[in-house]
Amino acid sequence: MVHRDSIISLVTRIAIVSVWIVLVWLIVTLGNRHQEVEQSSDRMIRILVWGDIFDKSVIREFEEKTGIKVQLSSYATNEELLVKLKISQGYGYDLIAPSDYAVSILRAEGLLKPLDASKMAFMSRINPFLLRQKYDPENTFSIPYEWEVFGIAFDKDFFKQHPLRSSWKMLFENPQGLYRVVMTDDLREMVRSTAQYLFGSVDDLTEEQMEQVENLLKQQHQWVEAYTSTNLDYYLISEYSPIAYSSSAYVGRRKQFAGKLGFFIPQEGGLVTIENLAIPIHGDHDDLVYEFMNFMFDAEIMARHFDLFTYFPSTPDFLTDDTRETLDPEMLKLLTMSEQEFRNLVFIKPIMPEDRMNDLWVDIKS
Amino acid sequence: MRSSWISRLPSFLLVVFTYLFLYVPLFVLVVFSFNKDPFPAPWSSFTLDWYRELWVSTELWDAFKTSCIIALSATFLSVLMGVMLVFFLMKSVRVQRILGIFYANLVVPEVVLAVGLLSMFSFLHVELGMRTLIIAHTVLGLGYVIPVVYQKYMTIDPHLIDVSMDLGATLGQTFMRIVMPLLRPALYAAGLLVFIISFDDFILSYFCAGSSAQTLSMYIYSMLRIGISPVVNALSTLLLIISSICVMLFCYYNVRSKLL
Amino acid sequence: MKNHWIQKYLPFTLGSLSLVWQALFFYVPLLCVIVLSFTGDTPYAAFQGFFSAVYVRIIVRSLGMAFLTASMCLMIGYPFAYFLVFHTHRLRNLLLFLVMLPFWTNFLLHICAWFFVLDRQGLLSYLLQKLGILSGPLMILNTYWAIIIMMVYFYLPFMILPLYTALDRFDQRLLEASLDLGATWWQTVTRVLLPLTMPGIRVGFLLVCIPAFGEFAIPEFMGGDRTMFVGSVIKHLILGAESEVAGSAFTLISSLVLVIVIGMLYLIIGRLVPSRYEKE
Repeated sequence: MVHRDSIISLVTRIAIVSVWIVLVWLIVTLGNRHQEVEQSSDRMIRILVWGDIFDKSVIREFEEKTGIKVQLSSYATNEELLVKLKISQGYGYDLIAPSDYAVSILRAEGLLKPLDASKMAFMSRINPFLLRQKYDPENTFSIPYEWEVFGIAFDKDFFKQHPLRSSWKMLFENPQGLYRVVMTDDLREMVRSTAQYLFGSVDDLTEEQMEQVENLLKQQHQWVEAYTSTNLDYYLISEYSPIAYSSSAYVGRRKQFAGKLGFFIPQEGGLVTIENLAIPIHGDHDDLVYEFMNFMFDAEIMARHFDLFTYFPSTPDFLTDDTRETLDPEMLKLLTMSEQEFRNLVFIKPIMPEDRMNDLWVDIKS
Repeated sequence: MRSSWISRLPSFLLVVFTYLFLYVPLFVLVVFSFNKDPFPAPWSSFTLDWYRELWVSTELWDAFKTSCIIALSATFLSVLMGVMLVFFLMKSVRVQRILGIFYANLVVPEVVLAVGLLSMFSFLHVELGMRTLIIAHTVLGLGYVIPVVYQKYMTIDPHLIDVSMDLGATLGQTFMRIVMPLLRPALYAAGLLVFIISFDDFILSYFCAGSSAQTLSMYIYSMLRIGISPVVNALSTLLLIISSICVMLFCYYNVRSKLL
Repeated sequence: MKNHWIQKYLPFTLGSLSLVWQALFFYVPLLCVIVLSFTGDTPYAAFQGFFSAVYVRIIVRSLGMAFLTASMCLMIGYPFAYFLVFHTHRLRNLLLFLVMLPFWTNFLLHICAWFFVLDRQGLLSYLLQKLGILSGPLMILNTYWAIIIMMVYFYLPFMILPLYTALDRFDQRLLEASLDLGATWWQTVTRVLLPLTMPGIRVGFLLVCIPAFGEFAIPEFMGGDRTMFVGSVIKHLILGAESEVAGSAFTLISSLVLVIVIGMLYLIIGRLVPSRYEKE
């Protein structure tokens, strides 16, 4: 008798626990799985883009003007975008903003939908040398939206008394205790700029070249004050390290330090990245997406975009004569660079295998 | 101690120095939130501009709202579960031995838990967001609630329970009328503890939030990475005030719980 | 009959939720980490990469940082707690409140605060230069010591509170008795005070050491992200490189190392300081 009771008791307890587990499981997973993407209602588009590509108030203006609801998700790296799109197999989003090399990866995986040039009235206004790049030669799948260049930012006051050469040497040659530098925390940019300094604009690295890059970066650690891409101005203006790897957009945004910070593209060639707009292969509401794009490419909207984020818009006509006056001359020079100068820049595509770069990252900092 | 105040002097100095050590940075932080010039300029003039900027920032308030919701939910869930566990404890004394599983919470570095949850969630294809954060913070909370509530429960005179049962009350009635009132201060104390820990939590949120949810800690982290702006100072001052209130309440309930 | 069922199983039903929750969301994730680390190309593939000098250095460095922090917290915290327990009466609650308050504030804000103090043009630099102790600006940020200072600052309350609890329970008369019986100050401390407060010391040490081992935010901000610690590596592997297998494997390895080292430390200290009079 006793034996049977305790078995019943045990079974009941197991049942109760199982019910709990199922309940909890349901709470966690209901409506929450990757594959279950919200069914888009009629006038709505789902965009997955960088956190700082579209101003939220501009999006709200678009929503009010057209009655199209915009569902905004963001990512911080191209890798996040790639992972998300690969997992969902191109479903779930109607518009994305991949960088140059991300476009070629997505193309290869067949995750992009061809764009309809007839719906994009702004095509003719786009800066011609941004088009027809290697990652999308006919611009079938992507259209450039904004771009920025990477070079060297410096403290003007410090370098009034010390020599400043327009070269990557400023970062990669041992300053012998005179000052320290700030490097980026982005792996790809680190490797790319080092390669640029050592070998010029190469497309791929040989094993030997990779080792040279690794050794130089490990050496450089001695005279690096910090690895950051977002905290630069603190180091630059507080005289910790008067020279840093930086981007045009970053320097431009720091308007309060306008007179103090300088920026230049090294003579060996700088880096560039182009952010494009693209449509995933299973994206929906194409018409609404094109409406959105046309809205965002409007010259005035682009001017506001530039004002807020200082990324260079792909349509140069946003620059009116008035704004030209107010711009920093250095910034203006960069914005209006010639095609020749642009060809001198190199894209930040990965030229070293991921694993190796990740290991290098840990290596440098140990 | 028979020693005079002279022998106490070294430790007294140490204590004073320690308090200075703990508070001078915070003091500086608060003072500079009213400074007109941004860091690293020295003091120039008094202004409330940064507080104004704080007030207007929607991203900040979104993050604040998110943190509040998560903290409140985690607190509610973990305290509720703690209460239910006590109810179970009343019935079956053997369970006490299992309670050890909750102490592991304090022994495992938060990073490990964060990695584990992240792996588990992505393996099950669960989307990271508010829901997963609440779950994670509740686990964190359990590790604080259970020990506190259990300790308090153990201090309740078992005779009270026995007498109540003898007089004919059911387990439920005994629980609600006798145990709960005695537990209540400890529950409030534990709840406040969980709330603060969840609200301030950084590591777990950083790993498990995904791209859709942003807690206040994550917002501050991204602001710090961009650079020190006096807006952060202003925010700190406000948070200090909130924390002070919570700590005062906690101390109050802690003392009450010990008195009962 | 139904009433009987409810009577019998209601407590279990309610109580088991917390147990289920803990199992599902604490132990299963830990299991995931362990299992995941073995799912490389071969079961040991993920681990092989970490037996190099680089990673050993990182683990040792993190251990060093954790122990240094805990030791410094102990050295400052013990006399502090002692003073609080035995030499304050009316102000005690206020002082306790003040100790706990920083613990309850968002720690990222503390980092911000310390920037102000430790910066080249910050408070400490200004003071030291004014006093003539330093000839140039204070160059402490982005160094190892800035990290340690910040760590001690942050973990001090974690150490003080358990020590306070342990000392609170301690009967002061034992010290007096010991001295009266002719023992020296040193003997009293090592044979009476420390052994009886050992549980508190242990708890405090654990509460500091274990989280400190996995820190990555403090080294990132205070150290300029120039050096890698265990936490930084894990963050890099999981969030940056997105190789969860490697991340799990490294988490497992470093956790094991931590457990082993702490275990050994306990054994050693247990031999040195007898705690025969332990009562919980």
